Amino acid sequence: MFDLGVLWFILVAVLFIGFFFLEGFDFGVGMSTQLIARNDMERRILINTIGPFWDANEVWLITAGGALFAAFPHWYATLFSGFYTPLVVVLLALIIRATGFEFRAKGNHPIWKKSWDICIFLGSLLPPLLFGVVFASFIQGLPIDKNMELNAGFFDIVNVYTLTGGITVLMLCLVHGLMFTTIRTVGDLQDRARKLGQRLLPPLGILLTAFTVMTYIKTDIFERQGTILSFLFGIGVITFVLSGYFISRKKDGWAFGMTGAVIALSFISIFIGLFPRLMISSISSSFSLTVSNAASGHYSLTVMTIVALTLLPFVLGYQIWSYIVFRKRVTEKSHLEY
Amino acid sequence: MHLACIWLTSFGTIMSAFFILVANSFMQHPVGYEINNGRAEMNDFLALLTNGQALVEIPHTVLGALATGAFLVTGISAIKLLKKQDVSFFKKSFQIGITVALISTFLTMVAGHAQAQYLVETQPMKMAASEGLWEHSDDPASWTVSAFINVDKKENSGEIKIPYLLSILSYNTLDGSVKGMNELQAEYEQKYGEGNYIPPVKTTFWSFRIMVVAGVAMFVLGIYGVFLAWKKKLVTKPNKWFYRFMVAGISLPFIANTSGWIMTEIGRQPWTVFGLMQTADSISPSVSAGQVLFSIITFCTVYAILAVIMIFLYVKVIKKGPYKMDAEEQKINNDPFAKEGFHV
Repeated sequence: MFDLGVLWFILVAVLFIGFFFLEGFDFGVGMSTQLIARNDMERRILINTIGPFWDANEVWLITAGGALFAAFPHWYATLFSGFYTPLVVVLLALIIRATGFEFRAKGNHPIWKKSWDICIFLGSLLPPLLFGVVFASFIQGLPIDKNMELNAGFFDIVNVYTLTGGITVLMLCLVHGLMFTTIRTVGDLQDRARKLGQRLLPPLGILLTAFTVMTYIKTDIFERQGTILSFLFGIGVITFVLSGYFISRKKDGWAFGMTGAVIALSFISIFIGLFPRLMISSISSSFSLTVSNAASGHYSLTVMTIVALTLLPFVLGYQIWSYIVFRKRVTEKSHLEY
Repeated sequence: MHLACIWLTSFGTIMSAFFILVANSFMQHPVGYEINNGRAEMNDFLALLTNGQALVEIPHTVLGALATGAFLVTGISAIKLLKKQDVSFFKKSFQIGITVALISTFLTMVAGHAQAQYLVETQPMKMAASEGLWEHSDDPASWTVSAFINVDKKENSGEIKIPYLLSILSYNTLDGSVKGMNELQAEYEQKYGEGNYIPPVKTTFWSFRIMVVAGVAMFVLGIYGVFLAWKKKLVTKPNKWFYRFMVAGISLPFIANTSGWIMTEIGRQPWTVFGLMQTADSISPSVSAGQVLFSIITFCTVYAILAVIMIFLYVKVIKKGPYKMDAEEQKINNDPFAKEGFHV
């Protein structure tokens, strides 16, 4: 019989990948409000490009967390206790970002707008950085003891390797967001987004390569899944180069698709490298959390599978529908809600 | 289409409340599980959904939320009626609001009554603590309105009581007695081993009373308001004081909701999951006190700032009055379904 634990591992992975693909670009747009917008109107246009989507995108993270909690309670417990402080910071960042989006346009005083602008920028910058650090430390291995307790010191979580991972994810989201901006705006703003996106591609390429090389040296995932990971890396290189090609040809939609594919491939590689482990123990491999020792009871998983498969088509349906409804480009003449 | 969105939002909110309360009900009264290798695993999803606790807790909470919304609408309408702005609009919203407020407050009380009776069966300790009842009650049992509770000596002084009321609350009859904390403590020690199974009595006792008083005040305001609306005297008769009470009344459901939750969560102590897991055993060993302090301080700060901003924005929106599309906005109305939006 098909193992439900494996199915839920795949589902959790899909949810996180979906989250980084979708929320990735609106993190990027959030950061770009300070990088390519020259005045209040342009900032508002940028925020409105993601206005109808960002909260639905964020739900992917909540769903991923919920799926983690329900399907792999030990993974959830070890992760959320072990990474208590960084995850609190992520949560605070997401709160000030969300309130920034909602409140910014509800006042006119320059200090009011400036404060929310800072909130939006920091709230869009910190989560991808910290998530990058967290995921890098997943594959790097963490001091998890035999009771599945993670007692990580500062340098277990924050070191050269994980920081490289964090900055890589941050840059990926930024470039992805700039590509998104090019398909949702017109004129000057669109040109600036395209130009900055193009300029940032080479450093992003260097970061991705550096992180992959470090992963090859520092972790065991290439030893375990070398063939498939090398294959994925190869495809990653091709999609990455293609994104540069498309953006230079002003085929913005294609370029956006390619940066999205790079994000997806990166996180697919991480999850494949982990499997069947969920969190790797650096103390002893027998202490690692795995699909089998961290999962819920079989009955719980069965109920969850039925519920999830029933509701999934509706959720996906209305999310896709919202993108169709709000597909028109945002200009100065649009109704700017945010 | 817009109407469908409103209904979907409402449906989604209720579903989310439903499942949150199913989870909370498990903590009050665990069902549908078995213990495997020292951990509770679900073995009956349906039992979880039809948990007797959930069946009384969900209506009580959801109706309470409805009353909260209704009092907010009514209170804001009252501000506008006091200031004589948009009178016909706010008269209507007051009428609808006060009717919903009265009905939902009344039904919340009915559901709360059912919940109290369930409490007597499943968590008698919480019931006893919320009554400040140390020894087995008399039969018929009277309801204590107020008392000075001495937790160290385990006795009360200066009690004011209403005869029969606790029997009615617990069993819908004029007789019947309720167990006291001391005998329950002895029972639990036998069942669960050494320990203190008495929750913070004063907090439980007073939060229950605050909730009841706030609820009764809401009910009285609701009856008077509906009476005025019925007699069509909302605008014709000078109702200044009543409207002022309604404005202050916005706070009542918030007080009732908060104290109700304080009662039910504090009253369950020392348990996280009643009878299965104690709060002291629920601590994450790898999270330090300093980390928790950091998160509490930062969250409190952020929420305090946000609360101030929210009130500022509320006042701003209320001052602005009901939404009217002006000619300018109608021209650039960008409803995606209007005009060219659909064909590309």
